[in-house]
Amino acid sequence: MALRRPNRFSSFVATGLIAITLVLVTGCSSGPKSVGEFALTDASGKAFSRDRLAGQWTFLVFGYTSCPDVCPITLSELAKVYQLLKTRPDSPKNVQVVFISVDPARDNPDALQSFTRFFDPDIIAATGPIPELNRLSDSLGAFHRRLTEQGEEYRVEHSADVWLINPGLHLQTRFAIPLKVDRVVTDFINEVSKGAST
Amino acid sequence: MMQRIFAGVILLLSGSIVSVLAADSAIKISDGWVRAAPESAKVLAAYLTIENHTDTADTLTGAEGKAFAKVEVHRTEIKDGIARMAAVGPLDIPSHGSVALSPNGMHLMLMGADKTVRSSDEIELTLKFKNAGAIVVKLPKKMAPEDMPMGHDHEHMHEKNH
Repeated sequence: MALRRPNRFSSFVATGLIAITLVLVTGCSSGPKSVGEFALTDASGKAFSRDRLAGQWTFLVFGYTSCPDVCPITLSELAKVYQLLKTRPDSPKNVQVVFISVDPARDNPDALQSFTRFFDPDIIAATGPIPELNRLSDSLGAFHRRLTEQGEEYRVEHSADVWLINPGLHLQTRFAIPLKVDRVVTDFINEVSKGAST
Repeated sequence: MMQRIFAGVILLLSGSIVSVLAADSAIKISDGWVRAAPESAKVLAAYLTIENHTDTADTLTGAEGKAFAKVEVHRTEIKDGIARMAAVGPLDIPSHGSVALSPNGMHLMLMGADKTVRSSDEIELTLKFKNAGAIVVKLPKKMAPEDMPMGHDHEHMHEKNH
């Protein structure tokens, strides 16, 4: 009995060390997804590449303007998160909200502009050719697909989560919908403090 | 208020006749609203609750609106983080039951909106039921279910829902 105790203790310590090592290894190298190169255009006609994400905390969401339920709900909640963060002294100032339309055939710059402006004029909207959209979504592990329906009223399936990309262009975390505004704000502040310490 | 008292008096005086008439229109639409959308939006979503106060099940067979090319019942499904919309066929409303069309669930998909939608604070739709026939509703535009209707005060909304 007396002999077993140190054994248990040392195996406990060993397990702990392995766990810590794993966290460090996965946290620093293979763990977080990195935003790949992509070439899109924002609603004002300017190039939108990953340079626009560098140095920013970005809440990024995929969607399309003919989406009347999920997309407006998420954007209006994100607009609330964005405005709340502006009032928080513990929030960084380099925060942006980006709406990526995965429906470039219907979402021209004007449609994009008026769609996102409706929720918050600061929201950045961008889209581009499907292969370029794929480069962005694939790098994050996101999904989008236009359904092959006749006519103008086709539907688009897309990842509904909100992707938080850190200033170092890594995927920090993702928020599942429906978003709880206060919870997203708190979680974001936590993620930022984590990010700052590593 | 006076109207309700008046209606109550009528009900007492001629209960049987009124109840026969009411049997045809005992489908009640409540909590209806249309999600306010940007001016450019061609597609909008309407939400409402259908209450069936009759002894027989009814079916929402379709819907239409003058300002829209097409209206369909759609369901949003979120599976493995991916949002999909699927058209829902005829929608059964059980006897003495209700079916809610609400955000992230079902909605009336209002497609091909014309320009009149932009400036109107209320959206008129006709719901078609197998038994109850056509029911016309006027739904306020709102940003979120708990919000005040756009361009209307709270009292107005309160009265209209009764």
